[in-house]
Amino acid sequence: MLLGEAKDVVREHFGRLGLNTTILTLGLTEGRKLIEREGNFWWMKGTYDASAVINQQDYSIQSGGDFDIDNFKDARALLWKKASDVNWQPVEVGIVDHDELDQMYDEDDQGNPEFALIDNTTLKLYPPLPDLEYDLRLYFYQWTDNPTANTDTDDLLKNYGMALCYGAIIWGFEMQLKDLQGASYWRNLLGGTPFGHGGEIAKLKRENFKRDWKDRVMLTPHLGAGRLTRRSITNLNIYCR
Amino acid sequence: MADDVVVKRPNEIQTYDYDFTPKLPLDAALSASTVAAVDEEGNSAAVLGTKSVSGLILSVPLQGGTDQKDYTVTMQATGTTSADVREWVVELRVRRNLQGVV
Repeated sequence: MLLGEAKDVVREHFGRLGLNTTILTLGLTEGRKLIEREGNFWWMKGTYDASAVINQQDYSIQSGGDFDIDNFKDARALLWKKASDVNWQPVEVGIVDHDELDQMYDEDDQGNPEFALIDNTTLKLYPPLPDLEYDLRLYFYQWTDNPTANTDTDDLLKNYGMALCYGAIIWGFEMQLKDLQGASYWRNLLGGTPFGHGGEIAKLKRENFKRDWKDRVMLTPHLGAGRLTRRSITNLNIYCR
Repeated sequence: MADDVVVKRPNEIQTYDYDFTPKLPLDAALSASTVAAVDEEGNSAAVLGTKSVSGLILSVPLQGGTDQKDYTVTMQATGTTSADVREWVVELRVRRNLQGVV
């Protein structure tokens, strides 16, 4: 589905003159937000390379910041390496709370990044004082925008275009028509009841899970010799007895 | 926000007239006028023929355009007497397969 086709589908539910294009564009933006609030989906993934600064713990994540990322939503992973190395090492990001990390490390602890957390739009490294200018690679999710041209499309529109249309129609019914009952019909088509457990969003989540299966889920023998192969990377572990 | 909406097929040429009388009630003629079109990304678009003026009526042929695109056509007129500058905005939707009453 092209963006222009999505606009036409939504317009047909309000009369072709019933929803002016500026408001329709806002509706489609809100429709995308409604979907993206329900999870971290594959089209939202990105990576950004930056460098640690010696003795600097905090790095901003925002447009024009140390991690120059627009519309950052969530971190997936963080890796580090020395500039001269070729292999990346994992940093545990977002696993341990801020106060616990402050207790675990002294304020003058130096070394390579071991833990990190994101506090609002700031990435904090632990130990607090990097001893070298390490390369950092942040894997993240970001809020995305609809294409701007009517003749353009993207992964969400191309394969799950009706999800976006439903989202925009919900917004239109609530904001334009003030018809909450009508909106609930479309809301059910988008996300089922309770919201997020059915409809198009459930299909999106299933596809998301399928795509992530290969690199996120690890089958780990809980007993026996295989137990020794358990890795320290925090991941979604399924223990097999 | 557009004042009017026109839906046309890509190959059609449709002359659009706007009478500025309600917006320029003190005037009998236009001293200047422009017509410009942009697509939904704000890029200038070649969907206009040669404009013409008759009294307070500004006319422009709407032509060409890419299927599925929406264009914003801004017609601007200056009244001879009042020197007021008024605009009329038309949203031109080019659709090959979506027709009928808007």
